[in-house]
Amino acid sequence: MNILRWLLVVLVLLSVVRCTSPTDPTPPPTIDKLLIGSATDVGYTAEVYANVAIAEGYNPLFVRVLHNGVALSDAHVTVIPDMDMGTMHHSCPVVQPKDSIPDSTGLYNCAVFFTMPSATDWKVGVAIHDHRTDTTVTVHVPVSVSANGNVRIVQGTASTKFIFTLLSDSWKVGMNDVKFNVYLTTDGFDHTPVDDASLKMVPTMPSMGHGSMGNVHPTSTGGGWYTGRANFTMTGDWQLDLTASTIDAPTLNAKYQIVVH
Amino acid sequence: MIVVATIASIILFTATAARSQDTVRTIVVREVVVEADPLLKSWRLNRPLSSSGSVDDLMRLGGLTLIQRANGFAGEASMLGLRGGQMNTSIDGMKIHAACVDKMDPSTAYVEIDNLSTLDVSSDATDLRYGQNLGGSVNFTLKQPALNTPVRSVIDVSGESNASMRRLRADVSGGTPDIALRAGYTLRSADDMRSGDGSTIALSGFTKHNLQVGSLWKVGDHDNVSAVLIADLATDVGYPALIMDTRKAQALIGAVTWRSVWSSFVTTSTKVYANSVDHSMDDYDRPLSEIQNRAFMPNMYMPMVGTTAVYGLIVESAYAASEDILKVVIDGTYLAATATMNMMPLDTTVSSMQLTNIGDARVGTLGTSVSWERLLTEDLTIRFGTRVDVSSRTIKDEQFRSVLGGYFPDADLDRLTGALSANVSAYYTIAEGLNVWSVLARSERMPTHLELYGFWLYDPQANIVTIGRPDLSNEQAWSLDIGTSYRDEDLSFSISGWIRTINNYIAAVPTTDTSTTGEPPTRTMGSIGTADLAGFDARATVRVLPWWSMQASVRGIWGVGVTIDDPLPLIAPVQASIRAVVGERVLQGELAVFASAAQNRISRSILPEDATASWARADVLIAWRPITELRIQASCTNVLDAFYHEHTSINNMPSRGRSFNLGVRAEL
Repeated sequence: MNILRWLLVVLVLLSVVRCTSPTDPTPPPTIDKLLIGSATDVGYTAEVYANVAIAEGYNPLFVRVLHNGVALSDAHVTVIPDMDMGTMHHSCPVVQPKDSIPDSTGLYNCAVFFTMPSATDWKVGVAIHDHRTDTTVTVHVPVSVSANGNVRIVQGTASTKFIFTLLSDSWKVGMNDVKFNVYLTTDGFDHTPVDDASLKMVPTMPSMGHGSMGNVHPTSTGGGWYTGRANFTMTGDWQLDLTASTIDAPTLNAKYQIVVH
Repeated sequence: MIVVATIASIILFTATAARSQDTVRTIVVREVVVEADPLLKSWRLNRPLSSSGSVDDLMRLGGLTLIQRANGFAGEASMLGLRGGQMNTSIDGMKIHAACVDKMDPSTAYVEIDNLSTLDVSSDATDLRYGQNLGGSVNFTLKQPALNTPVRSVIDVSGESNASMRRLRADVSGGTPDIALRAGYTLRSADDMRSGDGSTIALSGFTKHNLQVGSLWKVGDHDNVSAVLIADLATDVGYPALIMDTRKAQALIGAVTWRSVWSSFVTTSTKVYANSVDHSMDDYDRPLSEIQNRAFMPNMYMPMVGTTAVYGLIVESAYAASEDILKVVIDGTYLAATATMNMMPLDTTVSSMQLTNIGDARVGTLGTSVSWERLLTEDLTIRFGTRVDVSSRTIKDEQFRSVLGGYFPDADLDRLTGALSANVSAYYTIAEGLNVWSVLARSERMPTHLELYGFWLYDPQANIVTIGRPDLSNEQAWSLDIGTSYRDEDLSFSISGWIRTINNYIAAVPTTDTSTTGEPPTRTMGSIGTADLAGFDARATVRVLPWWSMQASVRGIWGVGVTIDDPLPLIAPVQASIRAVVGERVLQGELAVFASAAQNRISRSILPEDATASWARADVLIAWRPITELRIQASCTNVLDAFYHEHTSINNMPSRGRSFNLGVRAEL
């Protein structure tokens, strides 16, 4: 009888040891963010997360890649947004993950500047180079992009377009930091941040016929980003009139409609 | 109107008697005191005259100019070309601040004539007891119940043909040797008024309730404590000259005062008070076409709400000896003020908006005034006066701070500032009843919270939008008054003149050129440099016969912004009045003629205004008092139905046309 008991104990221990064997896939931890979409190709899964539902303009995204259900910890991840509407096919500006090592939660941090809204036509391509197996695969994750009017595409020269992106914020009465991003593209697929533009920003209330004082024109902070300050004197519908000039494109105008609460 | 206000003393050159042990001496002050209830005065040279049913009427009798925005309601006091923060207006020394940022509810709008005992007007920069001013001080003294008086009630009912204006007053008071009580209620109501051209001025009616309760306790042989509470509520007050009307204006005013006689030389008074004012206005009663087509902010409704609260302490002490009178006043106040405006576009696709006009402004001020009068000889009195104020100013609303901080990034929104005024006067008796006097004053006043922090305030007359400036400097003035007067039983007259130069004159300074857009220009409060004011005042009363007296007065003011070479705005032209009073105690009659010259000397840049034509108006009054307890009064104001407007009437709102008035007052 004692032999049978010891045999049972040994079997249980063996069972536990097998369950924790490094050769078994560990269930990936739950991500405390909003899952935007995911897709799998040849055993590689790309999961795209965000803090909030994605919309036009600047969207910080978080990508987790898994191979056969196991989160990769050493992979080169490249994000390639793509919009194909048949008659139009283009990408948009991206800030790629900086490192091949994900953060402590297993996420690769990146950002995408979606240039227009669409519920069906955007895909976020995630190119994965698995350093462990030296395998490269691209997984296309469909995403839905809602409208918010934060992006203005302005023709520069005949062959260039400037993409002005207003960083969304919870606009409030008083002085607000206002951030714009400026990218330049010639073909719609390659985008270059513009850091040498001169920006002038004028907040107005068209329904009231006035603006405000104390505003600070945006200046470059690098990476295509510009930061200024706008004084919203009351709640309601405001308009930001942005005028930009570069050496190649003397005057570029963009207007943004925002609501101050 | 039954309550008849009198000019009890046209100018009291020999009015204030300070009693020492066995000496009565005469102190000369240049002050106009108007009795709110003339029936309490004896029948004398300055006999009861002139119908007066409102504080506005009372202020006119006191020589004040009213900046008028409504029909006999809430006139803004002005004197000597000074207005707003340049003069000090108080109720029993208490500061009450308007809650409306568009000046629709000056503090005087929250008291009724039945709350008052007297109106004291000081016009020579010597009265610094209750606040800094550049030369004008107006103080209403509140009515107090009296000890050892039988129960007395008064019912006063009157009506006028114009605007169907009606007034009801009920008052009961009485006192034992130790305690006295008084309660009074006033209702005033009016429909739309008719001007002298026969047209009805739409949205010019109002309704107003006022309740006052007061008490007096004798707490010792030399001490008493009084308490007063006034609740005032006005509803649906039309402001035809403006773009909005008052929906509700209410005030609660309370004070407790301890008066003590320490010796025959020393008296003290300590008052603790608080008041709150809530004002709401809107344009809901305006026709849609007006909303759609007005020049300023068309196509939207814009209700506004404002509140102020004031807490204060006044400690007054006086030492009076045979040759000296020393008075010290410590005056502390704390003000909290907020005002907001909502904008609701007719176009529902446009978001509603909210604007903060005053974001929880806080102003705490502690002032000390000292005056010393000394009888140098039997004929010569000199007087020194000074006041020092220290004031902290800030705004608490974080979003409003952010907005204003954006406009004025270099300005300190949390300021500690001060002001110092001083004056010296000499009064000389040339012969019995004949005096000359002169006052030299250096005055200083701090900007008001509206001048500092008011944001996006609309001036409908000049069609400008003004924005306060948190780093405004104080206004400072030098002034010189000279005058002479004579008084005996049958004749009194006075002639006086004054000049005043004001540095850092605060006004709305143009900041944006909107001439091409048609939008109202935006102006920021600032200094327009130096401004000069000068004026004269002459008045006389003569008793022609024992039953017939005549009064006449004429005054004129001249003002100019020297630095920018522009006449000062809202300066009344030369004005004159003649009164003939006949009768005796039972039956009295009065004919009064008021006339004003044209004002063609107008501001074109400081606060653009237009010229005003000359006008004249005549009033007649008959009062019958068959028994002491009953008085019946009939009068007609603007007998000739003249169509006119005063120069200080905003947007040229016409004055009332002819009105027949009938009133009955009974005392029980």
